[in-house]
Amino acid sequence: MIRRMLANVKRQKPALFGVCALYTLAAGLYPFLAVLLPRFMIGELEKGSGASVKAVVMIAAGYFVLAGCLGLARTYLEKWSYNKLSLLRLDYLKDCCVKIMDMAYFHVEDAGFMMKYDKAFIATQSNDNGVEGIYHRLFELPALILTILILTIQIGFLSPWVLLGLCAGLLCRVTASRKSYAYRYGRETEIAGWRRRIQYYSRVTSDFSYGKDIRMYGLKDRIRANYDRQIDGYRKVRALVAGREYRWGFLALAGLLLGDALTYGTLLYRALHGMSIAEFSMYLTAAATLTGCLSQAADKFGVILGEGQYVRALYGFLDTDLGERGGDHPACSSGAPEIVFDDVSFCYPGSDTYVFRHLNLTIHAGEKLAVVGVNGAGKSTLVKLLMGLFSVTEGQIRIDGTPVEEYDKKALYSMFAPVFQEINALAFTVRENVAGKLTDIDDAKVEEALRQAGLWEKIEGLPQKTEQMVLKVIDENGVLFSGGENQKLAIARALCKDAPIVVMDEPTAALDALAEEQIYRDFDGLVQGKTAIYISHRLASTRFCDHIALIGPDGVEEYGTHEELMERGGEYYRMFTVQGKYYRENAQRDILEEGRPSYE
Amino acid sequence: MNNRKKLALIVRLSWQVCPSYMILLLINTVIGGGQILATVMLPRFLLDELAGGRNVKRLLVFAGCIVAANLLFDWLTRLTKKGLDVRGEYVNQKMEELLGEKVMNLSYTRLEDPYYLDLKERAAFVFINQQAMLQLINGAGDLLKNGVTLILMAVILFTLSPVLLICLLALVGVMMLLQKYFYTYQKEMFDEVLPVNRRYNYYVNLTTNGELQKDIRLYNMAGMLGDRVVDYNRQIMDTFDYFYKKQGLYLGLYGMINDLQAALAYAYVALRVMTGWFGPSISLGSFSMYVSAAVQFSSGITKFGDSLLRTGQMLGYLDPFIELIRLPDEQEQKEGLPFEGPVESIQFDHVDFTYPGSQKKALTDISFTVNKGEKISVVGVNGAGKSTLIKLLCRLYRPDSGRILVNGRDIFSYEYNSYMRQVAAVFQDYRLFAFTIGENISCREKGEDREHIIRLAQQVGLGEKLSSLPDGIDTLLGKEYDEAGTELSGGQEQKVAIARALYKDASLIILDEPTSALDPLAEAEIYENFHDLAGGRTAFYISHRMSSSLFCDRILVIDGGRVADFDSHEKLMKKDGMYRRLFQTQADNYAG
Repeated sequence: MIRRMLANVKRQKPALFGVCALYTLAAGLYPFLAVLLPRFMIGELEKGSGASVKAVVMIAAGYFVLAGCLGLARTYLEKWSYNKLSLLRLDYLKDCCVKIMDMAYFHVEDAGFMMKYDKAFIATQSNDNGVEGIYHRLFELPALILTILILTIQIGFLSPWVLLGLCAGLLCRVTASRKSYAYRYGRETEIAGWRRRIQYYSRVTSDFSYGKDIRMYGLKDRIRANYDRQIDGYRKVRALVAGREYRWGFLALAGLLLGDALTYGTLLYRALHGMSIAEFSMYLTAAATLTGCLSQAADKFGVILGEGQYVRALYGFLDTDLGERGGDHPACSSGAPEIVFDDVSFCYPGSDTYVFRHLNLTIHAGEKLAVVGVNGAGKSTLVKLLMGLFSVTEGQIRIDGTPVEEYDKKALYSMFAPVFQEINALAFTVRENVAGKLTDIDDAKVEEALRQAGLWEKIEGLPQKTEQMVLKVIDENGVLFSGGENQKLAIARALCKDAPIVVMDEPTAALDALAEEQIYRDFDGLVQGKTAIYISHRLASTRFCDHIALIGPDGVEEYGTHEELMERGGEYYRMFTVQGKYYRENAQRDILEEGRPSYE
Repeated sequence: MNNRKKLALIVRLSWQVCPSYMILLLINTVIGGGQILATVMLPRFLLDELAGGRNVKRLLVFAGCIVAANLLFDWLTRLTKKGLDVRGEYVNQKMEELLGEKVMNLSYTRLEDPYYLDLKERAAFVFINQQAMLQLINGAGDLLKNGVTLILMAVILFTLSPVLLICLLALVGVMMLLQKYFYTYQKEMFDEVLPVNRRYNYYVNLTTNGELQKDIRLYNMAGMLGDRVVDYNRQIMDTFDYFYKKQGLYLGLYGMINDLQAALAYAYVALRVMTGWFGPSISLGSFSMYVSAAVQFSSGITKFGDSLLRTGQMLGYLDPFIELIRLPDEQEQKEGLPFEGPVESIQFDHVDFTYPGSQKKALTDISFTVNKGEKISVVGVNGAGKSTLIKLLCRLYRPDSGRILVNGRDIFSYEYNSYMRQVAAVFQDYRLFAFTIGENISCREKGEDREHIIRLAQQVGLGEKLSSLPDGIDTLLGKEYDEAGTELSGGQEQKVAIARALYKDASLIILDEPTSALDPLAEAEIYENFHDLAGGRTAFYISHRMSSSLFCDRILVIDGGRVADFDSHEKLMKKDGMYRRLFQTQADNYAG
């Protein structure tokens, strides 16, 4: 892992190695000056009347020059590289984002996916942890090791006992912190649970869209009380962890006692047997510096070990094949491909309940098909399978004779122009939103699409026309579209893409009757000469489709034209009558007179 | 607001949240001061004894004292740390809760104003970005501790030589100038980079946003998002590159001045030992004490400067949080008449309304009267003002002019809670909470009236779903809060929301597009049960499904923010107006 991280530096920013070497020299020697200064100074003073003022001034000046230069170099080099190391992390973050946008779609809807790769994402989240945390430590460690080496040799020559004491002290401290870390780690799930619940309440209380219901149903105190309970719960667990850490602290204290006692004992003994005060105080400083450096080094190693698991998870995530490529068949060349569902059964990954079984359906080239069914019948699932967002459990879906899996993923996606149930306008300009890219935008095409979608008038009224930013997140002058306008924007985007297969998934749920009618009418223009699938609860939409497929757990349960299905008197007939009965001329009289109209 | 006032505000808030935390911080400061004093002063006795009497017993006692002091202070530090760590996080969480509580207490008017949405987002940033709040709280403690160290060391140095102290302080002056210069630069730089950073975060989050992944794949937008992320990244990094180089230089110079202070102190104190030029000569032990005090002094200055800088920086992040926290709560509308209910009549009297920050009137001259028990359908195209009307009736906004009268009195003259008790609504963008299904319906803690909850759930068509859940109405909603929770489909959630409104047992019930996620069969079930469900209550019903109007007594047609018509279905169908157009458009689809 470390090797791979270093290889990454070599590829991205090899200069960092040189800088690190220089830093090591400067930062490794710097603490040594503070050890030597008192030695020389006191040494001079110990000469008593023989001490020379000139020497004292020279020592001080020498210290200033050396320490000043080394210190400046150390600080400057450290800061110089800090940002370069951050950049390495951000590159990895970008790689993760790209990976997520490219991986097979079904992972997105897998609730366990984020949990599984949780650690990989944490690895790129902050300056002090994960990848960047380790990079900073790796940068600083060689200098520490240099200092430690010099001091160890120096003290070791004087007395191995002092060294032994210091090492024993270090061992105690490291053990104590590992133990309390292990305790904390053991409670990690519990702690994460409290955190998540606190997070939930933090979001619900501060999310404006909850405001109406909180006020309407007087939920404020209730939520507040729950929120408090979670915070208190977390606090109790944290207190347990802190208590454990504190108790292990006594081991560290024992180590401190051992180290101090051996150091002072040995040095005093030596001082009584001829060591000069200058040396005595130098060794005291050296021992203190060494103790400091050792525990810093131990900390850094600890961080590298601890954070290493996150970096390993990151590499694991980046290396795993998450189905980003698909096959290698190019996009179909026909303007209106034929689509065949051949005995398709499907259950969502990780579930064993089939959404539908043995679904057989052919959508002929250039045909318009309406897909209807009750809530949960699998209408949206059907198009997700078709677009390669999920893979069939059994059976096969073919577009122009080629199974969906054999298409290159990018090529497959390029064949569809979908309009989804939920519409997401993004903080890009209007034309970027419509074109789906930043450069090489065909403005004539964008305008045509906006005109066709019936949004052009609105766009023309904006101060910056198609260059106007959407949403207010980025640009406070951005335009906020209403639900209906957003829908039109999505339709314009589909028009602009001009792909051979058009998919409309419940695009009119939030629209008024007139806007809905408009979309029905536009649909014809939108799908001219293309293969189209239209999904809706509004059965009226089936009117302008060539065929209707009613789907359910057993696949296509009814199939035919509107007239055929009405004649058949099945489920479609029932749904259509239920929805249409109120539009009959005498409907209201029936309701008023009989309480409710009858059908069947 | 200047930094001192901001800091004072945060300290005051922290004190309210957790006084023991603040006390511990003070104790910690005292301990820190004691530790430094011991480190500086104790070795003196040891060295003097070594240079002089060399009495083994005394030497051992002095060395023992040093070791014991080390142990004592290490222990005390661990003891306070135990309390501080937990409380620090606690205070941070409480501050975050404070933010949420504030949002819940704000007047609703602000909640639809983009300015406040943006302000809230920026305010919440301090809890996400570098945990600014936590750093600030801890940083304030450090500031205090380093300040105390500085004063103690200055006092010790003063006893030796005011001149040396003045020399050191002069250098501190140079450092402060450096610091001021750098701080100004840093503040400007952060003001510049923060908004960019926020944008960067927005786009990074888009790339991983689950709801967008379908769009990203099918419209090949990975390139577009990736480019934007890289662009902003480069922009931020260029700025920071320059910043860090500058910081490196600044901190390096700062360090050099520190070294100069140390060199000066060593030279001066050494001369005091050797000569009588500057005053009475001192011992070797004193030498070590004064030198060590000077070193502590100059490193204390650095630390103090550091924590000052960091605190300043964090306080800079805090502006939006403070602005939000200082917004007035919605006035406790305790005054006013208690509303006894039930709603006997509702009258809109020439009501005008404009959304805050908007130029255009959302409603103009709205007047109509509704009587007890009437079922009113509100109809109009998208953006006509239907939902706005409802929000006014729910006292989420106040009209610009005109009055809304209930039972003959202005609704704002009633005491808030007693009025709200009589109103229940299912909003278009209703929200459910991570409680059990039963609690979501009753909006109270468990144990309330289970029979009633279950009956209502069955009435809205949830019976089948509930019987498929092992815990029935005690099933927890949503997985975000607890993995054991259950996710409901959009249609099922809508049904829970309707049951919640019915449970409230108010005499006025409002349903805003309650069936948009339901299939035809479920929708018909709701329509047909509507009279039973609403019972004798006065009801408003908004829907784009024109057929729902048939179940209502009268239809209020809103067009362009004005009342276009208010009559029964039959009469409106005879007029050539907006209503007939809307109805006929949909009816045509089912003709034949």
